[in-house]
Amino acid sequence: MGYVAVKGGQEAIENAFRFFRYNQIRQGSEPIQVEQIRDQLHLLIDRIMSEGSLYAPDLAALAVKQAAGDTLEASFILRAYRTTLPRLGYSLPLDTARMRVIRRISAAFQDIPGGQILGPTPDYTLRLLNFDLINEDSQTYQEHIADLFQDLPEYDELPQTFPKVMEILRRDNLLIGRNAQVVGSTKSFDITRESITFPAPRSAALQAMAMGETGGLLALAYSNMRGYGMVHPTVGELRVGYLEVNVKNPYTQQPEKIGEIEVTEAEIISQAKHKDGNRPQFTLGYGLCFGHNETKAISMAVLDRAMQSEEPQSPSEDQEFVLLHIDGIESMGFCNHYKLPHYVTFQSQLDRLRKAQEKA
Amino acid sequence: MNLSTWLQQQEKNGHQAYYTFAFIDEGAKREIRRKTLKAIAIPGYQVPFGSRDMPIARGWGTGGLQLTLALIGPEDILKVIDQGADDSVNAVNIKKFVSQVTGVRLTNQVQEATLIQTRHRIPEEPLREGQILVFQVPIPEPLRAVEPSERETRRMHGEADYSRMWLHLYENIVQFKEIMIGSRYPVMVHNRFMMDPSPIPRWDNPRLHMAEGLYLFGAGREKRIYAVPPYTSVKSIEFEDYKFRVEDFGGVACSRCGRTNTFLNEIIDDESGKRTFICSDTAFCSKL
Amino acid sequence: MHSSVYPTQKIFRVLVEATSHPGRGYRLPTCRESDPWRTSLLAVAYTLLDHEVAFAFIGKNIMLAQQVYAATKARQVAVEDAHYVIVEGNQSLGQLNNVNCGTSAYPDQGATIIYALSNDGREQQSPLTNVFLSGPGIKEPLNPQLTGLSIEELNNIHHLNGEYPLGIDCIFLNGDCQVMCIPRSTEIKIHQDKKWDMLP
Repeated sequence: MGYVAVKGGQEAIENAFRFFRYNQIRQGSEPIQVEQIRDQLHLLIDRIMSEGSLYAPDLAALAVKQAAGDTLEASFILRAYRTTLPRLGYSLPLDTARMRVIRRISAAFQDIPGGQILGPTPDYTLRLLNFDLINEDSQTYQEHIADLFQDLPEYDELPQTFPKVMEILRRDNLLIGRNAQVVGSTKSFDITRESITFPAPRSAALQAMAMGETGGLLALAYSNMRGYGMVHPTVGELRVGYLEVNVKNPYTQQPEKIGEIEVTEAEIISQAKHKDGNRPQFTLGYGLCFGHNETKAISMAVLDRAMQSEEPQSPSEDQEFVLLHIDGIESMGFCNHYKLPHYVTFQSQLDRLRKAQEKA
Repeated sequence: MNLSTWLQQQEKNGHQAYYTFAFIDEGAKREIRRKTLKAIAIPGYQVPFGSRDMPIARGWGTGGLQLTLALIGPEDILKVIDQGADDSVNAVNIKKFVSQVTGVRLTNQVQEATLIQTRHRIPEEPLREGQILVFQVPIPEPLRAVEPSERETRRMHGEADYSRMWLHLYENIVQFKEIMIGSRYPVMVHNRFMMDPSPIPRWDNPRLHMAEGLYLFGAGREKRIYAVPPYTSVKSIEFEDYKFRVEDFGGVACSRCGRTNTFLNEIIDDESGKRTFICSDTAFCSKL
Repeated sequence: MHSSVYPTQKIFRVLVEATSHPGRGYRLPTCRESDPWRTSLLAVAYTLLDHEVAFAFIGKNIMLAQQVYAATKARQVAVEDAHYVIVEGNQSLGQLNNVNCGTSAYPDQGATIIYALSNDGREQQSPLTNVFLSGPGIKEPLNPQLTGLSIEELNNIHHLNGEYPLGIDCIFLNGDCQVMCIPRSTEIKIHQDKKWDMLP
């Protein structure tokens, strides 16, 4: 009878979960601590917070542990938790020009005001397995840190903020104006409160992508980069850093800092647009997500620009196609629901096929 | 505060204290309630809603679950079925969750339930006035099979332009001499909106028509709510000369209860390959 | 205002029943006999409205609109921008002409009208026998079961709902703690008898 047994379903479900837990711990290795996941797998945590759309490193680490490392599952657990939290208010708009930057690069200009700041990245290393990592312990970590801070050369302190590369282009009238790319209402749409309807305003599109699944965004953006699209991006500026989150104090009406979030922001420059009567100007694609996740921010920026195509020619330019297929939690849930019993629908299909065979 | 101190505080408050009655917050419930009333007011029309994330996966009944949680009160008696069965994995999971966050009484009996959540079936026993049947819907758009774009299907519903669906049926008949739609067989509601009745078998379609109970449909992933109020005309689409037909079991009886007038699941015996049949509605099957 | 003050779930279920059975009168669980008109309006408003939606107010009692705002934090706007329109009494006096009836792609955007019918004895006290309702939710055509209605207003609603599925959905609350709904899918037929001819 499979798993629609008339009785006993409950017990089978509970046992299946116990077996899953057992599989996670049966080898007898040391239990992994939530702080270890949070600190040492921080890029994973960033991804989970971004896809789960809740900025909570500890909870994201807990979700990773609970999901045995499955990123889709961990984001799902985090997002399901988010839904139970009351919405107490809204922050004031965050200005990324005032980001406390730890990394910022531009592929457009060799030198930019403030300089190229590489910051933390494995981008320029050879991807060879590092066997030294096998036998590390906390002492190795301490030694490594001590090494780093020994004999530091003279250095200039980084400024608090950096000017934005895009502003240079804008000043010279080479880049399209700030409001020219607003599609739909200027009031922010809230996709967690309202169902997206099409054509969706740009604010809704950016929100959907900010909580989109990295792999899904990448696949669609890549299709555009490879040739199913016309964006031809240049990374104008990519920055990673910390943003202050401020709320308005309801009593004093003054902004009040409630914390900081780490974000990645990508601004890509794309082909010129020639609006009737105006001089041609470059256009901009914009991406921003929680945490340090450059692949996601760049993919998002490419898709943001792609979806502004006036006559969509490829999937990545079709807003409905992109926005309805990038959510990892939705697509993963639907994919897996096919494992649920479909006896009834299959019975109906059998009935139709047999009838058609009779008539053939 | 770090996670362990937070956890200690939570434990002091008691484990479930952190969740409100019926899990979702009042603001979310209010929105679902507003949209539900609109759905009942426009039978068969899909009302968009800001579907919330649930602790069960998208595609596993989150739409139905959100409706149930927005409707349910402490005095309700809940029945949950999947494929007609009360003890199927998904039904058990949903029942367990709802009862954890509400404490309501559960039942297997249609007559006793005030609220029933279902996946893929309408119970064999008819509902009476005041009872509500909540359907879990994977794909709320009946026209999705013929048109992938939401903008376009919205337009088609707006203009009541269902020609593409009729063409689809016609092509079926040319190719197979039969309408090949198994389950999810489209219906016309109140002569205006074409509606996806969720993946129920055709067997259940006639029970949507002029029923006494209220039918509510929730699609969580696709973020839509729709409804069939009591005493509402619901007709399965058909041609004059190619009629809508329910599944034909050739008069075979349920091997458990012996009835010949229920929807049956086909069971294949692994040894002999012999087929036997059993009622898909297990509560009805057990009722003498 | 906490949900313990207004048991929103119970009120919602009554509204579900009332929308499912247009024309029937249902008793509101929280209505206070001493002040039925105000308590039932605020209870229904608190169940459906919050800061995510906007309402308009048609009537003289400005205090009432303020109380609705205080209870729900919904914004007060002009009739044409409102998701909910609260009408004090049984007549909208032509002010519903610009009400939002939705679009063909999104007819659900059509407004909901909440009538707070006063029971000061000037309205009819028994069901209107020359008005017949039919449509989804109605087994046999019936007269609207609530007292305090205006035929003229029902006629007005009938015209606003002339292009189904565009239209408005109405909730009537009266001084007997009763609620009745007439959604847009309900056909309103008014028999032209003498009473009707006498109206201006």
